[in-house]
Amino acid sequence: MAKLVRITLDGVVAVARLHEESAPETVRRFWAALPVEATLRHVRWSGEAGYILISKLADKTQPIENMVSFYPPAGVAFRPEHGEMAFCYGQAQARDHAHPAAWACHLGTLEGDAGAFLAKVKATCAEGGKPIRLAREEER
Amino acid sequence: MAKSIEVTVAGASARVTLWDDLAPKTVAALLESLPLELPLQHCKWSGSACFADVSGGAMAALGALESPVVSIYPGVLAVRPPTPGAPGAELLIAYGDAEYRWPDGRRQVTPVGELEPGARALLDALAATAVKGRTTIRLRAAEGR
Amino acid sequence: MKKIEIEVGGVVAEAELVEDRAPRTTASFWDALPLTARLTHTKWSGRAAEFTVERLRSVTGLEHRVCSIYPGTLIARPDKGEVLVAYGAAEYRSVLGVEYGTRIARLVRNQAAMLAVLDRMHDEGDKTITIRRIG
Repeated sequence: MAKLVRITLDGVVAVARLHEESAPETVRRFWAALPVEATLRHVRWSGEAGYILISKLADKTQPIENMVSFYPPAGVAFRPEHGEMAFCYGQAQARDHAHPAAWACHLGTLEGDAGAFLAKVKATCAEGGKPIRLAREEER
Repeated sequence: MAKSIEVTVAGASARVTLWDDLAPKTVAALLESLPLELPLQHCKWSGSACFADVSGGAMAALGALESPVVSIYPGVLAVRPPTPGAPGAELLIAYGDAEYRWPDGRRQVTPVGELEPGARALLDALAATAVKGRTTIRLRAAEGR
Repeated sequence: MKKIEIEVGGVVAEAELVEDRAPRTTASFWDALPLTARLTHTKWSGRAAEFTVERLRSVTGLEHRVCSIYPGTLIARPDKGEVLVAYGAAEYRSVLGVEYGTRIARLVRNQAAMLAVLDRMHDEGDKTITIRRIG
């Protein structure tokens, strides 16, 4: 039974399927932290993605499961050292000032037609931060 | 008013305005270490810059980088704090285009200040180390003005 | 040294051009003034914003190459017709990784207020930048 997350970004909804088999501990912690409300802003180092910081999930000691460096388009990536969750709409990579290339957990993937949602993510570069809410979708 | 120090190389002196907004702990450690008199030599990997090793004192006890940069702009004074592989700190000063590097590539330093205008003689003295070899750098607190 | 006035979001700051280190690029930039352009936050280079100056494309090669962009510094990438101004930790990067630009100017007056308004772009989005010659 897949864990699904309902994501509402400035009125636009998408659903992400969590990769529980390949990232069990990360999914467990994230699932327990829901619901989450935050402001999604455009990334400043990682390219074509938006991000939120979930401070209660920040853990420098947490191993990175299902490791990726380049974020898959329509992917949900998570960097535990920062508690940073990113939603990728194009070309993006886990980066920051100290690390021109880093690792992240490929935590989930948006399902179905997420075009409108990803357009909203992209728009944060020009338009600024937007409210986002992540909540458990009915498990199915 | 910004803090400043005086730097002398091969008889040429100039003031450095310190950036304690960008690097408060590193600037504090530098000021605590004054006066300093250190052997200065031209960088091998980092371009148009010179460096001095600083062992002991407040600078050798520094922790993390502050406002880290790779490029060291001309006239900028920078500090590489101690690392596990390189105990002791390193002081660098660029006279032209410079980028902090080791044999295995680019690394970061903390920028702590820059030479005030009119430091041509000091910049020339730094450049001369590429030909003339090692010299001495003296750093001391600048007298108030 | 030539000076310019930069206005963003109602804040006006003064900068001086690094003519001695980047004579060709600063000359081309000076010739492009006055200009008004859309200022967009960078996606790859950290705490910096970028704007287009098409006239810079006539400059071949880089002068005074840097990758780190100190707060209050402007760098140009003439082949892309692009100028970046940093308000915090920034390094010139693209999808390919670390790249280099020509340092062309530095803020010398009202820097703190200008950096603060640029910092707000992360929350507020695009702004308009106007740059004029002084004198």
